[in-house]
Amino acid sequence: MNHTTILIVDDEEELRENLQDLLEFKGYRVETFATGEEFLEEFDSISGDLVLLDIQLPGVDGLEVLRRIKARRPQMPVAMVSASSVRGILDQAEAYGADRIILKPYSHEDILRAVEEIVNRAGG
Amino acid sequence: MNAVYNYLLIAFFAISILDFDYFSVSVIGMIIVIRYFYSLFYTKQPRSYLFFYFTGLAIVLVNWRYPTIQLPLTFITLAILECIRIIIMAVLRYPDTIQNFQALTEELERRVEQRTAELRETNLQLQQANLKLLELDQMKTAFVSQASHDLRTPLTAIKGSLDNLMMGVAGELNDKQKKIMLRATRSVDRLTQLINDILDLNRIESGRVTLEKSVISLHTIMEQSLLENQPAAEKKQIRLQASNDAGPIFLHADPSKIERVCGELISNAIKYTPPGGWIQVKLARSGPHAVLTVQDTGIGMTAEECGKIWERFYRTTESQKIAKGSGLGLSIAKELIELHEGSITVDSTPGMGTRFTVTLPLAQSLDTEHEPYDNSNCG
Repeated sequence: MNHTTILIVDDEEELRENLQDLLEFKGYRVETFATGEEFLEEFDSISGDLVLLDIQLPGVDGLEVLRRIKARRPQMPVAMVSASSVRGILDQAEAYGADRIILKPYSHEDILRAVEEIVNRAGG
Repeated sequence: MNAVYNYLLIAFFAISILDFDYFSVSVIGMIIVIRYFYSLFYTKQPRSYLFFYFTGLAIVLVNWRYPTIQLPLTFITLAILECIRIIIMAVLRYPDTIQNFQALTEELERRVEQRTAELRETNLQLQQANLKLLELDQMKTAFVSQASHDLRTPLTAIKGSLDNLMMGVAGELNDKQKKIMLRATRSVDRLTQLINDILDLNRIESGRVTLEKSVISLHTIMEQSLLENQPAAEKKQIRLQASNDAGPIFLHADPSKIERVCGELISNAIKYTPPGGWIQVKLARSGPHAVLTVQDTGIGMTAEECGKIWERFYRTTESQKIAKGSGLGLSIAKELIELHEGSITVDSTPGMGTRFTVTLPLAQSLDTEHEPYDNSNCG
């Protein structure tokens, strides 16, 4: 049994739950958060191996959440999920240290490939 | 004024005849004759000749009967009198002339001002219309962009749910269930493709596409595209043939955009070629250009249809019968080619097939590591 824990931050309930179903089905442990604030509040007390983070979040946006994650735990892998392909935003995400950028609409393969690559890299 | 002058002249003429003053008869007679001609020429109104003949006859008679009168003296006097008359007339008319002139100038100025005002008004209206159009265009771009993004999120959710079920997250599906799921998945994929196409076109139109150019090999991209489209072609028993007489061909271009163009043309050809047909993809050089032709034995188009296929959402009647599509693929391909300073043309015969010809500028220097590509030369 795989004990990798994936933290999902996405304000869209349907997307969040779909990802949760998929990843749990694939044997990962999953914790979900609807807002950046909620995630940051609990971030210090939770352990995770990977964050799947939506860029467009209400309130504290994904880029800001990314910045704070990397400030507290630089080693924590973060994959950004974005519906926007605006260069500036993606460049900024990379500058803040995003390990991977997944564009919406993504397929299950995109998600699983990204997750496996990051987890394998961290594990190996 | 003129009439008074004429009457005076005639009166003096009569007095000189009655006085037997032959010199005056000659001079005044000449003036009358000259004025007569003058009025004939300049006013172009019909005049009675009788008085003219009478005056001329009087002069001739006087000079014949009294040859002592010197003709030169007559002419000199005549000239002096005429000069005096002209001067007097000019002086008399001066206020009038000035007034007329001023009135004319004012009128001209008024008209110029009026026209300028009209022009300014038209210009303003045009500017406003232009601004409005620009605003509308920006609104359209923003709307399409926003709407597409908003569509993407629920679409991703639908696709995710379908994929989860297909994957067996909720238990293994039977064949019938899988078939239904596949149908839904295909439709979602089509919708996703359409939204992506609209977004792409929107991005190109609003000038937000940036080309990430590097030196790329067109033959490799072509081979890759052929490989990717091979399964679709095999499914329809279409033969994909490739020929490259030119050897390696390098472009200074954005690889993802060129891949898109190649893929679009080949998949398009497969779509509209009936089973058993063939598609030939050819690469060649022509001067400073690479020439890519994609020829098929598809349903073809009329010349009129050929002229319209670059329009957004346009699909020929025949093409709608044979395959699904958004009618945006070729528009995008054309825009992408033109962004690379290339061109695309089409010729086609209904029922026989279609040939697309893409021309793209070749990379100027292959040795890019030592000699960076000079962007200023590419215009």
